[in-house]
Amino acid sequence: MSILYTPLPIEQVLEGIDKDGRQYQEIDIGGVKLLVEQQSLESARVVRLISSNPMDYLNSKFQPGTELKFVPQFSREEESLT
Amino acid sequence: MFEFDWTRSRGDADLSQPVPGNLQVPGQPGAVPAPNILTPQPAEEPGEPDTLPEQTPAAEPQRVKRTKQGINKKGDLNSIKELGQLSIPQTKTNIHCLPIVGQIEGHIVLPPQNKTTKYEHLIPQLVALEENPEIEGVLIVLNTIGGDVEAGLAIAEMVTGMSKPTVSLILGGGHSIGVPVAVAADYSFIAETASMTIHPIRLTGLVIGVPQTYEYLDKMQDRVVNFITRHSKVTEEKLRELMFRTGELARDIGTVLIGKDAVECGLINEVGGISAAVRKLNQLIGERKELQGGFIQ
Repeated sequence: MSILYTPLPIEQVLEGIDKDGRQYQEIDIGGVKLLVEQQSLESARVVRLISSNPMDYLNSKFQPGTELKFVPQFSREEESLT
Repeated sequence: MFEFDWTRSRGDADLSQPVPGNLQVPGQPGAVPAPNILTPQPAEEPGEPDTLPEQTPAAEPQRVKRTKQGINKKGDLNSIKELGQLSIPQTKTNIHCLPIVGQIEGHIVLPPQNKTTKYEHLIPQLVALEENPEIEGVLIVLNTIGGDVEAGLAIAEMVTGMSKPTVSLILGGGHSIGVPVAVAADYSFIAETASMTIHPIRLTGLVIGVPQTYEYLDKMQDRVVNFITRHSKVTEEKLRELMFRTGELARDIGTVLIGKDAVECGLINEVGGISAAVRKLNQLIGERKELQGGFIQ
């Protein structure tokens, strides 16, 4: 049960709901939630910062457009080392 | 947990230049004096060249970096060079801010061309703001085009239920379901140019799961109207009159209130900007502290 209460025409709001658009992922870094767009296997770009702390928005690391790098790691690395 | 790295700052990395974490120390082999292209550097304080080479940078390079002079002079200079901006020192704040932008997203994930504020983000944030003793007040900044009725009312009820002072500020627009969210705060502001559209729900109602009957929509509308009249000075008659006024919106019924119109009809408390909103919030925080102080003693 869902009602939209908006002055925008419904067609405009729901345009493209049946298609696959750009997909964003949410990740947590240092307790701050970031909405990122994955660009390749190992890199992503910050799209949006989700935080209620206004000081987080001054942090240049969280600015939209900043690139993040994922470092591949064996999930069972600790076992193999011992 | 993800490892991450800033690739933006690595544009034209020149390894002969000092970079953060690789501080060159005069006297060390391979040290290149940093050329001052950007800014004239202040004269070095007497005594500094004597003290720096005494440390052993090969063994503990971090020590050099941690000295005050190292951070202030080299760190700032490097961030200016590489990013074109200064790093702003992190300061603690007792006011947190909730931006409510775009569509308020509810039970249905909207297509990605919509900018949305999701209730699954806002509601846990509001719980954390209520619980955290360091946070004394919440500023809600709205620029929303409306959205899901249930999600909007859920956020509005969360804001009203908070024990900490809340102030809302409408910038740009606070339309449709943004209205209850705006009036839910203890005190509300609207920017001079910001607008609020008051219109009936069925203008662009999307109903999924129940028959789209007149009675059902009317009931949903009553929920919104009751919430607004309970939390602002506008009367139900006035609100319904604005909602169903003909002639103002070109092809539909409803009213657009701009800045002081919203204050005049009693919906919003005051016309103002960010400074007025923060001042009011600090005043409410002060009043609450006084009240609590008196209560304990």
